[in-house]
Amino acid sequence: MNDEFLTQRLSDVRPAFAQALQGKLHRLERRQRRRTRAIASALVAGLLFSLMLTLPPVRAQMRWLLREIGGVKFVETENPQEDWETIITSYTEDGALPEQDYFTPSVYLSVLLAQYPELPRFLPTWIPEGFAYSRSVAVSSYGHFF
Amino acid sequence: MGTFFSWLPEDVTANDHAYPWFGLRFGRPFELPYITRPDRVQEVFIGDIPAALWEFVELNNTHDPEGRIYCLEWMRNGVQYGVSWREPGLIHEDIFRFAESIPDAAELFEDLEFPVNVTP
Repeated sequence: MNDEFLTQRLSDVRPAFAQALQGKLHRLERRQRRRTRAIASALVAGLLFSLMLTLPPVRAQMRWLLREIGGVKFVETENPQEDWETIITSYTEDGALPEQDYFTPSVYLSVLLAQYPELPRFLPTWIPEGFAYSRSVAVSSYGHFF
Repeated sequence: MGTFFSWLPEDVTANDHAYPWFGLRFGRPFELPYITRPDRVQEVFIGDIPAALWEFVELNNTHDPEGRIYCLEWMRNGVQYGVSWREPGLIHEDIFRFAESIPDAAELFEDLEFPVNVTP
């Protein structure tokens, strides 16, 4: 069989076509390389994440999701009543519950107002009808009342 | 330092049980996060200030089981504010109007230390 037609009497390829083809091949090569790199990174990250989840402390931390809304932090857990002490101690440096958390003495509103006459300037100017101030005011050095 | 003011119905007596109440606390921000169940916290706005609203998880379950306790918490000029209230007896619209009427307390905390040794 005569196959000279494959190599003989062929006209030269246009430079513009050759350049476009070369560009296309390079783009395909780059895309393939990026895809390979992304898959490898995902596999490594997944492997590391799986390994971390085998560690009990990491698993414990993963139980809670910390959110921040309006500058206030929240720990969300399915078992707030069981977990609150553990969560609070995890936020203290020495692992102990802060004593100030429970330090909420009360003072007479009248005493507080006498000592700080400017206080009403910072209190609400509207309250629902039928309500009145309670006579005592709780003061906490920590700011946490619950 | 935090301070907690509360309001009760004018006609409440010692025999009343589970009456509506609401309270305002404000003070320097504290680091400990609030603890709640997922999907209970939603972002709301007091005027243009972002705030968090959620149904309060009471740790010792002493409140009226028929009622609901809510919290509204926000930060303004370095001061943390929080309003707690119980329903029924109060509605969210009242609480938001109350919260919007609170003046800025930031100056109060520059050099203020409240007395803590006077017990009613």
